[in-house]
Amino acid sequence: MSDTVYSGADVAPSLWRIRLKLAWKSFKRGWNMFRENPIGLIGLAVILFFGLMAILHPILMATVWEQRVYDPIIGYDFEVLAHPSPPSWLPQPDVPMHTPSLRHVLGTDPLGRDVLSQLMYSTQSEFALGIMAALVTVLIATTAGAVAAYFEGVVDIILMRLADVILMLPFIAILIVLSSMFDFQMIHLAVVYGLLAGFGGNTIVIKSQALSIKVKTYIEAARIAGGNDWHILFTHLVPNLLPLSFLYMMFTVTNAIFSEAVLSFFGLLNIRMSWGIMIQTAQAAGYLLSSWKYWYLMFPAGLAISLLCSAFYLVGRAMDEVVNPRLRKR
Amino acid sequence: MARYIIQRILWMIVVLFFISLITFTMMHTVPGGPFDQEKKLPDEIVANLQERYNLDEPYWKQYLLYIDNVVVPEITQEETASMLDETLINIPLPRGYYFRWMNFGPSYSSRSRTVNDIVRDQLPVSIQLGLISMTVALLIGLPMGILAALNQNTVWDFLGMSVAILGVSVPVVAMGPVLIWIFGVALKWLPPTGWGAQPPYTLFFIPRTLFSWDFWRYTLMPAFAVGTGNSAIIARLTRASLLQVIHEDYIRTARAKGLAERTITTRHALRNALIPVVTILGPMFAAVLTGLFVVEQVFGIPGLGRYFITSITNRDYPVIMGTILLYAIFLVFANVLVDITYAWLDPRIRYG
Repeated sequence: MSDTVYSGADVAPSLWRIRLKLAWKSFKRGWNMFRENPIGLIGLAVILFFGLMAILHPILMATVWEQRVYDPIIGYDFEVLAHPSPPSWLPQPDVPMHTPSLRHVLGTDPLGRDVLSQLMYSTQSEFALGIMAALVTVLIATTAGAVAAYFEGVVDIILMRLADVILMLPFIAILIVLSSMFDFQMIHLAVVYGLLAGFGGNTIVIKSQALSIKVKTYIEAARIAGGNDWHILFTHLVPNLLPLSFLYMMFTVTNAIFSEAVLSFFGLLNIRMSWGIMIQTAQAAGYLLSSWKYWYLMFPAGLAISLLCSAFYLVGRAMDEVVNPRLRKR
Repeated sequence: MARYIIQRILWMIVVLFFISLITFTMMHTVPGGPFDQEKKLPDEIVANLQERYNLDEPYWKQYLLYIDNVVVPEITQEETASMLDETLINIPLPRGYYFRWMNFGPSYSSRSRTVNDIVRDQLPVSIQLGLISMTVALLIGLPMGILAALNQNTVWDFLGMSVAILGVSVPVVAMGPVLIWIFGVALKWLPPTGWGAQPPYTLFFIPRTLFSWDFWRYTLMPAFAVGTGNSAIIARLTRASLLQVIHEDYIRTARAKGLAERTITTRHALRNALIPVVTILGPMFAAVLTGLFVVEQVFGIPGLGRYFITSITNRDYPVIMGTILLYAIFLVFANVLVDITYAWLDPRIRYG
């Protein structure tokens, strides 16, 4: 009997630390590659800008902005003659002698609420929606894809057939029906979107990647060393799928924000404020199509959706070059 | 090959059954029916209505009845089964017989029109808009993708791809009003809303006014609003595919033979590079056709997408069911068509 019997408890922390170090190393390598691509950096900067907007809103509400006037949902400005009013640094239609001010940087909406405040407040929920939908998608797609690739047989057939069916669903029509029949809030939309996107096309993509990893020698080594199926799945297969999963996460964010805009435009979501709701407010009051004069009602929200979506798209493209060696320039 | 096609078509039918089952269950699990109104109807009337529309049967029987009506074709001698024409496909046969197929039933909210009438009025408009949007997407996307690929890593490439990314990211909700403001209100070049074709249509969807400006001036803005997003996808795909092809050996051979650069591009590179682009057109058209809700709402186009929203607010279940089923048929058909095309091009899939 020798004294050097390693129990699991002795080995586990160091192993854990090694793994973390390895993950950090590969992250740094990826980041260095990502950094070379100006497209990805532009996208990241835009995302950070919106993140700043989301964080800044509660701070502004607590300090500079008066609750009664600037609340994004129930605020009202009595000192402005007519709502909607254009940005207050522009000439006002009803005021002959106008002194430009920064009272309402982006104007007010038909209900007398500050557009900038609404825009910033909505940023929070758009981020929450996008990231939650993406997390659900990644969780499902990675698990389902890895399981289908690893176990093959009946599980594979069931999961792939399910993906086939979901791919062929009329996606927007189903979302419209669901949101009209059930009381849909942001979180419900995020989960339903994540479910549909996760079990659909993303599973197929992840599975094809998992198939190529499955035949690698380290998987075989793990099996010979006596690792059981679930151990191999979640410690060897899934971590190697994650870069690709996160890439698809970027595109999910974009699509989730898009579908929120569509559903809000038809007034089918039970939410107080979002970029889609801002456009819908303008439309419901009849200002959307009437004239260019009311551009400030739609333009900020439309621009915000476009910018944030293209930012995630850009980051996704840049990540694509890091994750897919085929696309690298050298 | 034949075996593969039969396999895919059988699978297509299974998928459609599954989708119909999902939609039907979804619709019948929610509380509140189509005849719930502010003023409560007398019980006898409700009972009569429910009997008329088979709503008093158990759900599984309702579903089977619905599927029976939609799937099983009938050959009858009568002029029409009732006052209303309920079947989508109604072909006169010799000796006064009629071949009737796809009976989507009556509409709950519209007394004078069946689901079939609604589809026949609204769907052609959506198909027209979808086809023109696809043309716009191709006209913008193909040249952009080719230009970007032939000038890889230059200003053209960068510009083209930036435009493509923006095109993907601007939602129709935002693009539509801006187009209307510029071309409809400020410049007054195009009518801001409306549609320039009325039924009847030849061959189900071709308008009689096809060759007049009256039809086209209504289509340009909505087609552009839908087309830009898809043109971006086409541009990216064309670029990627062309880039892959021009690094192939046979292009080098062509160049070594001393062929003109123009000939190499058009004859050798493009012809092969466009295969993935052509195959994506089917599913893309199906996706466009089934996603026209916003654009039809913004531009006031009387298409099926806009009516779908109306029927949602009316809880007009047969119309919702019928529309979703039709959309699913388009999507499934387009996808199966692509599978078969790929199998035809690549034998590995057939025997895989």
